[in-house]
Amino acid sequence: MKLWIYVARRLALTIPVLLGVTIITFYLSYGMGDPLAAYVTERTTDEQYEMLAEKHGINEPIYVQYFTYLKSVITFDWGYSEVLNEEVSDALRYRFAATLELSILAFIFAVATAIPLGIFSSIRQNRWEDHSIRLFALAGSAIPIFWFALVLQYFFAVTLDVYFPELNWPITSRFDEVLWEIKDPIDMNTNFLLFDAIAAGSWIHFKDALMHMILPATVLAYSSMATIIRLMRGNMLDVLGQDYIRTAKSKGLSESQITYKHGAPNAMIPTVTLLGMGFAGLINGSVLTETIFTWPGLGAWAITAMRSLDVSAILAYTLFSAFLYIIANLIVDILYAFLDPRVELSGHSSTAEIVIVSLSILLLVTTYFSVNYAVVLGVIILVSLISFSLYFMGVRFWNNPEDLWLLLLSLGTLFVVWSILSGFFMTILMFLAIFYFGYLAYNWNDLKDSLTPKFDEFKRTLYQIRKNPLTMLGLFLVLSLISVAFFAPWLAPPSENQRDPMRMEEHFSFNQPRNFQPPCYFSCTADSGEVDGYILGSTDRGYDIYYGIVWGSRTSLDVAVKVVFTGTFIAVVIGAVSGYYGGRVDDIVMRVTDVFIAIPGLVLALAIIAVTEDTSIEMLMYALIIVGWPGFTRIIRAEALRIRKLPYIEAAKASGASDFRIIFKHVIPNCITSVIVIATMDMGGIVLSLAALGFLGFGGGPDLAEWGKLVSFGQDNILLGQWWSFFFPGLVIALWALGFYLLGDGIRDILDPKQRN
Amino acid sequence: MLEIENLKTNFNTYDGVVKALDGVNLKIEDGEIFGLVGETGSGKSVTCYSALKLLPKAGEVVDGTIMLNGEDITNASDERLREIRGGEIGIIFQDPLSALNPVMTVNDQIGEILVLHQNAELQKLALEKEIPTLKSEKWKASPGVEFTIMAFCISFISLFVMLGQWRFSLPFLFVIMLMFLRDYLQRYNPASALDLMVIDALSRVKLPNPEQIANSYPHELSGGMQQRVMIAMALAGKAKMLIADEPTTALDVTIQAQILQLIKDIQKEENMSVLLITHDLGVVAETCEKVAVMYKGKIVEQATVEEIFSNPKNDYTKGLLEAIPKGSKERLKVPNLEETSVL
Repeated sequence: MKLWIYVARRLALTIPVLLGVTIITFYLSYGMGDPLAAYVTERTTDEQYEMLAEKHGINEPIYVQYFTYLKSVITFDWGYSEVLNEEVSDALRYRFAATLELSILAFIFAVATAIPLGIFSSIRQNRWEDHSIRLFALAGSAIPIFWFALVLQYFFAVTLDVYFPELNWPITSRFDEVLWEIKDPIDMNTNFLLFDAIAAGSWIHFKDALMHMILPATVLAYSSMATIIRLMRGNMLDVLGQDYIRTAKSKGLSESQITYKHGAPNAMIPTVTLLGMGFAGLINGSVLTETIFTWPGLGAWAITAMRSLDVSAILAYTLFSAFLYIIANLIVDILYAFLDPRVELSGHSSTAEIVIVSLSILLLVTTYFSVNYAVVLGVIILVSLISFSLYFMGVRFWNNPEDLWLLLLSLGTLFVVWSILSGFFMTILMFLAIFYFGYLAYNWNDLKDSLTPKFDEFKRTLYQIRKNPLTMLGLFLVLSLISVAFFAPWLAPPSENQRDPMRMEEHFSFNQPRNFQPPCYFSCTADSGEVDGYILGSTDRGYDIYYGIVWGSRTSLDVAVKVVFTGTFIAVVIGAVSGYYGGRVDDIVMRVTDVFIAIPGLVLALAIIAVTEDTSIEMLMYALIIVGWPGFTRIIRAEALRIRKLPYIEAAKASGASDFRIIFKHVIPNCITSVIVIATMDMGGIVLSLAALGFLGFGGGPDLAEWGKLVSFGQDNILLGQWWSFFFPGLVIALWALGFYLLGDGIRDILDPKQRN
Repeated sequence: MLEIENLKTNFNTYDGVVKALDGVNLKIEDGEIFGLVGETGSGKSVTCYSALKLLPKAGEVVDGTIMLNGEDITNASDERLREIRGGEIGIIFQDPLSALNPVMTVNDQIGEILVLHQNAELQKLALEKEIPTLKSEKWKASPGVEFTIMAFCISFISLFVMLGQWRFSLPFLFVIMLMFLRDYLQRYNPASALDLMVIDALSRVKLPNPEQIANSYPHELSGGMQQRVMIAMALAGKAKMLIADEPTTALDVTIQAQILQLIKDIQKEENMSVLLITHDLGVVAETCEKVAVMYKGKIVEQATVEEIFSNPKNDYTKGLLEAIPKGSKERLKVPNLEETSVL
């Protein structure tokens, strides 16, 4: 009985989140140009346009439009896709089966490999088995999905074809059209091809479907496997240090019994919570994988829609992925309650929760019956929410005028974000550095004594970095790639008349290039007759891959640094304040992040870029920040929440410290460890997302030197044997991400006091 | 019973080698309660962990011999050590909640030790009463796995129904029916021999309503009940010796007295040897026959309880005794470590 209450409560809580997602998708559609562009042709008269506008409610005020949209969403009238000439809801239904079949297979692959590997790695901690599994796992998250897919395609279609021509491994599509539709047609009732083949009892069909599936499933699985391995390893290490493991040992159980009966079930509990995230990763990954393997699923469909600006399809896809993600997390939450007997099932709902949920339900029901009433209700709710919050804020600041620093803080945050994005950041950083050194000099006498232990700490850190070969590798990769970005003008000199070295087209037109040159490594002069020939080959348009890679490192560094700085800054401020204060502030912040997290990151970024029709590098950065901050904020907030319950915060409060002082002196410095680790990891992650966007054709103009775009140049010519164009840039992306991941992992191990021994 | 000679244990840390034990000598006779007292970090717990090779990874026994009933177990094989742990020496840890596995029922946790060390008894009981040895667990998975199967089945059924192909959902429906059928049948399963022995072990530590406790998880029990479960677990393997590592530290005073009384009663009934590790001299005075005082990895004094309390020889022991609050107006005096002779 208790369980059903828990399930019902979790279900009810998803309603406001879904409502929030519709607000975001609506805002996206509202923000783009002419919403009728898809219907208008050259022959449309003004009258017809007016009629169309009337029909689609374009002239109505924004809130009426929103509720009209909401009604169409809840009645599953998701619009008509111009590109595919079909109802969006039909397309979703048909394509979802394809995506789901692929995702489930990939998920099973991933979980079935990752969990044993994670356990094995933890029981061989710090031995070579452990190191290689960790490297394997990190490589999985560092290798760009699209690059891995292309490498596999090339290997199976070109390399293997040389030695086993009769193998004929399929690298595109979902099934062999000739077999399934002409030669031996069978019923495709469920559209889960494996099931259909079994139902028809046909081994040939089953084999065909499976062969088509293995490559994309492997690609998807490998990328999500990494997270699970690392998590499982960490949890196992945690669990193996617990008291009950010692008890189990003292009973006389053997090592393997302890690991599998006592260790693994306990370590599984936190791992399961992340499986929901893993599912989101699959949705993210399926966008890329399906595009490359031309899998007729949702992801490929969404990319087609985005490239041709098919609004209803883009919005429907965004909404649908959010919906899937929420469902997956719901299942995981319930599973969690089953796995861990300690979970309090009844859980008691806060007033805010009840109010939010019941208001959302009321709003949805009203919308279903009448848009007009819903508009009135929505306006009333909005006005009362705003006035309530203003009232509470007013009361708070009236009673505690010293809390006004919170307002200053939010203004300051906005200022810093603006300064980072607009390029003033370096100036401000310089000022900050001067202030900081001034502060140090002013307090020198106090500081002198505290420096000796800090120096010892530093030496210990260096020692630990040197001891861990993987961290050293990461440091080396990071430093060398950053120096490539720094020395770009010397490594790959731009042509003399080139105005912007980042533009490959200019480099190309000034260099009298030749297309489609294979890499000549070190004998360029002999082969091409040019001094600066194509060390790594050229694309079919004649772009020099080497030049693109060297200058692309500047794009990556620029975007990564700006996005990570801005994201981390926003996250630290919002997370620390909301975690420290808790209560109403926290509730609001968490609901907002809920909504953002519900939409898979790549999908949201793509939707933002597609809808604004702006593929400049600045827009990419905005999109990545919008996508990235909720995740950061969640982590920092969790840290702050943990820290604020610690005794030394009580002690600081008892000695009369102000909130401002506690947050900046105690809370933030104590979560700085996780901030550094997350920021380092995200330096890699952001470049991966950037490259994915670039690969899909949203990479800051058609010829900006950007790694993901270089990979996409090679994609079309795989079957012609042109491997260098996708291989080298992808390799650099992987090395970049791997370097930062290794470094982040190493830093976490070093800074975690539990790991010291 | 247990004899430890010149035991030396080191911990290898980043800051160098820490000598946790620096030549410990102990002798525990059959059927006596032996107290080991000392301040935090003096090496009491490390002594007992070293004896059973339960040290954490950084710890290492570098020297000394450990004899159990005349058998040298210093370099015993892993298999022999596993026989000893639980089978010949049972251990009780200090914080029962963290020492019990949170995701296993009491039944499973005690059952484990019975299967390992009391297998012959188990078979005999099963033959005598004509009941199964273990519960027929062929189809019983953990609740999480069962739920996953259920969720998979339900989602596939709904998927196929949604797609209008309900006949594909039949096999999944069948699986769900099987699961319900199994639950129904299991309700009429007779208790297995293992269940009976677990209930017996629980009633030996005077737990009320052992059937119900056997099926509950550790966090559902109170602190005293958890410690009783720990004791039941340590005794279940019919060990002849019990090591109690600060068994009462995490408990409140009334429960402490009950637990100590329980340990004393059981010791008398079974004529066991007990090694009681504690920092509480009151506990020692109440429970033990012999006592050893530890300080900085060494045993500074070893004598009977009467002798220690009436005529302490070592300065550190004297200091410890003086630190016991006597309820008088006299100011408490903490032993000044720099002045004591052991240094």
